[in-house]
Amino acid sequence: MRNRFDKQLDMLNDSLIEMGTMCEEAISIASLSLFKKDFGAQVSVTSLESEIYQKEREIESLCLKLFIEQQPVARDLRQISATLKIITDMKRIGNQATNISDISSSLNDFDYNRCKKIQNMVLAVSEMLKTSIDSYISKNLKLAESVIASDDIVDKLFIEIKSDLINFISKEPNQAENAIDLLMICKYLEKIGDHAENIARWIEFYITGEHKGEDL
Amino acid sequence: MTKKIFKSIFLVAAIAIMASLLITTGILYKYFIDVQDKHLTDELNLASRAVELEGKDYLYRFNKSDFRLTWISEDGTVIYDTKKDSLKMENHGNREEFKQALKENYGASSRYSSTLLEKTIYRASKLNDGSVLRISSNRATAGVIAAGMVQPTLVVILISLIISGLLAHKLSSRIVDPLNNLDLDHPLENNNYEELSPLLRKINSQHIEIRSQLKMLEDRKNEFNQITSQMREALVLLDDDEKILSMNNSAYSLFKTDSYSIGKSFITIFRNKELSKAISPDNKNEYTELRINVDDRIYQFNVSKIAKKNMVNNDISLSHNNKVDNEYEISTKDNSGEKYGIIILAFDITEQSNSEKRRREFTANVSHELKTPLQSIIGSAELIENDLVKPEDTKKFTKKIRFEASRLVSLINEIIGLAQLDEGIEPNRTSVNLLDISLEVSRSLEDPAKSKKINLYVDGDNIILNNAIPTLLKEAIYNLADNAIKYNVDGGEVHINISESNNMAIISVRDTGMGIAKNEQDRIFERFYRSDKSHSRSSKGTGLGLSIVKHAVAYHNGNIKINSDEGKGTEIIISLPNLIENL
Repeated sequence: MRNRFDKQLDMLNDSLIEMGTMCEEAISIASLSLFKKDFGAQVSVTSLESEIYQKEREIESLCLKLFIEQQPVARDLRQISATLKIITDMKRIGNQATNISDISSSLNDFDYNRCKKIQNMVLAVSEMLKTSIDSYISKNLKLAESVIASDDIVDKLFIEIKSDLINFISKEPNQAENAIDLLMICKYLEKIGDHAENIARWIEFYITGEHKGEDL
Repeated sequence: MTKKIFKSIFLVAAIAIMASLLITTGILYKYFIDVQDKHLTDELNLASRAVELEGKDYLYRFNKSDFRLTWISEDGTVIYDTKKDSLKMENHGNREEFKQALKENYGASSRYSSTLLEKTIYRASKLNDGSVLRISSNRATAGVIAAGMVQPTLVVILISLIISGLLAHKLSSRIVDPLNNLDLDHPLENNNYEELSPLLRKINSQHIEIRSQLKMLEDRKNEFNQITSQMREALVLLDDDEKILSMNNSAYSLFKTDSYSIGKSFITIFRNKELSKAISPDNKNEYTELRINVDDRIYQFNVSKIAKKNMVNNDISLSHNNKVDNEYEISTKDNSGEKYGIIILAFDITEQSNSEKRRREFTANVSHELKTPLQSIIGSAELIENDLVKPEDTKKFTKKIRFEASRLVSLINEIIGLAQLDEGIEPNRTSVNLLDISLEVSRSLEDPAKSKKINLYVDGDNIILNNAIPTLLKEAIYNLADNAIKYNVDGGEVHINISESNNMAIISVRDTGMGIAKNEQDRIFERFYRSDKSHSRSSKGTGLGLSIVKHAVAYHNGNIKINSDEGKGTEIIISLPNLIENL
C-alpha cells in the first residue's frame, strides 16, 4: 500500500518538475519573441500555455485523489498541499509569459537593445524560477530563501524601468504607445517574479512545515 | 513451535486422563453394585429370620441407617416401616417387588428417585405367615459419581496443562536451539541433526552459486564502469520509469551532479522540454537526435530506446533455453506493455558545429570570389567576340580581362598557399631581420600608399628572429600593411614598429583607418571573411590576407592581438618567440 503511495508521490514530484520545465520554456520563448523578434515563438507559447493548463489539471486531480485515497499526514501532506499551491502559481507564470509574447508582437519597430534593464529583468526572473525549481528538486532551503530575497531586486528593477519610461515618453511622445506596452511587459515580468517567490515560499513550507506568507 | 508441541502434549494427556477416568468409573461402579446387592440380600435374609422369630420387636431395634425395612401385610398394608410412620403410608399392594414376592417368595426391583440422582433398590421376601418384608437401599447413579469426580478431574487436567506447557516449552527450545545456532555461512560445519544434512548441503551449494554469481555481476559492473568512466561522451542509462540507472563521469560533470542522483528521475538533474519529450513513453521513435545548448556550448543528445524484448531474445538465442523463453513470456504478459530502457548519449559538438558553419561560409565565399572575375572576363570577351566594342576601346577591355585574370591567379595562388600551410609542408627556416623585411615591405607598398596619400612609417630596432620562415613573415607584414593602407582614410598614416619585450619580438602595424567592430574582431582571421558583407568591391582584396597572417604567426608559435577603435584606427600586434638569444 505504502509502496504504491510512494510511487504516486514520486510521480507527483516528477510531474511538478515537468510543469516547472514548461514554465521555464515559456519564459524563454517569451524573451525570444521580445528581443529576437521570433514570432514563430508566439504560436508555440500559446500551445505551451494550453499544455501547462492541462498539466495543472492533471496534477490537481492527482493531488485530490491522493488526499482521498491515502489521507496523507506529516511530510506527505505537506508535499501534496504545497504542490497544489505551487501549480496555481506556475499556471499564472505560463499565462503571463503568453501575455508578454502577445504584447511584444505588437511592438514591431522598437529597438529593445536600448532597454538593457528589461533584459536584466527577464534574466533575473527566469533565474528566480529556475532556482525555485532547483530548490524543489534538491529540497534546499537556502536556494528557496535566495529566490525570496531576489524578488526585491526584480521589484526594484521594475520601479527603475518605470521612471525610465516616464522620461522616455516625455522625450519622445510619439513612442508613448510602445512605452506603455513595455511597462505592461515589465509588470507581467514583475508578476512572474512574485509567483516564483510564492513557489519558493511553498517550497519552504514543504521543507520546514512553516509557511511564512507574504511580508506585508 | 512451542505452541504446536504444547498442543500435542496436552491433547495426549487429556485423552489419557479422560479414558482412564471412564474405565475406572465403569469397572468400580459395577463392582460396588455387586457388593451392595449381595449385602442387601444377606441383610434381608437375616432380617426376615429375625422378624419371624421376634416380630415387631426386631424392627423396633433395627437402627442401620443404610437400610430401610418395611413390613407389609398380605393385603399390602404397611405394618411397620423403620424410616417412616406406617400409618401415613399408602397401600403397597401394587409394588412390583411385593407382587413378585407373594408369587415367588422373593422379589426385586429398583426405581429412580424423582430427581434421577438416586436409585432405590428394593428386595422383598415372603415370611412364613404370608406377610412380606422388604428391604431397600439408596445408591448414587453413575452420573452422580461422575459428577462428583468432575472437580478433582479438573484439578488434574489443570496440573497436566501446566506440566505439558512447561514440557512443551522446554522441548521446543531444546529442538529449536540447535537449529537457531546453525552457522548458515558455513553450513557443512554443523552436525547437530543428521536429518538436516541434505538441507545443509543444498544451502552450501546455493551459497557457492550465489557467491560466484555476485562476483560475476560485480566484475561486469566494474568493467562497465571502467569503460564508461573513460568516455568523453556523457552516458546516462534510464529504466522504463525514467529513473537513472547509471551515469558515467562525463555525465556527472555535464549535469553537475553526483551519484546521489542515481535512482531519481532524469528530469531532476536536467530540465529540457525537448529532451523530456524524447524520453517520455509518448515518443515512439527508437532513436532521437537533439541539439541542446548547455552553458553556451552545443551538445548533441542521442536518445535511444531499447525494448527489453530484444535483449531477452538475444539471451535466448545464446542459451537455447526453453525455460527462459517461458519466463520471458510470462513477464511480458504481466506488464502488458513494452518495457524498455533508455540510453542517453551526449557529446559536445560546439567546435564541430562552428567549423561546419565556417566551412559552409568558406565554400560559398570561394565560389563567389572565383566567379566574380570570371563573369567579368566572360562578359568582356563576349563583347569583343560579337564586335560590340569599338576598336579604340578594345584595349580597355583586354586590359580588364588581363586584370581580372591576374586577380584570379593571385587568388588561386593564395588559396594554394593556404592549403599548403594547412597541410603543414615545412618550408626552410633561417634567421630573419624583422626590420629589414619591414623596410622591404614598405618599399613595395609605396605606390598604393602614394595613391591614397598615406604616409608609411617604419621604425624600431634590428630584431633578429631565429628559426623563422622569411617568405611567410614578409607576406604577413605585407598583408597587414596592405590592409592598413586599403582600409585607411585618404591622408592617413600607417606605422610599422619592430620592438622587443619579454624575449618576444613584437611587430606592430598601426593605422588611422576605419577600425574593426568589436564583434567582428574574432572573425577577421577567417578565410574570405570581410567586414563588408555585401561582397561589393569598395575595397579591393581577396579576404584571405589576414588568414595567411594567422597561419604565418601560428607557424612561429606566436600570437596576435588587435586593438581597434571603430572610426579611429586599428593596431595589430604580433608577438613572436624564438629570439636569437634564446637559441
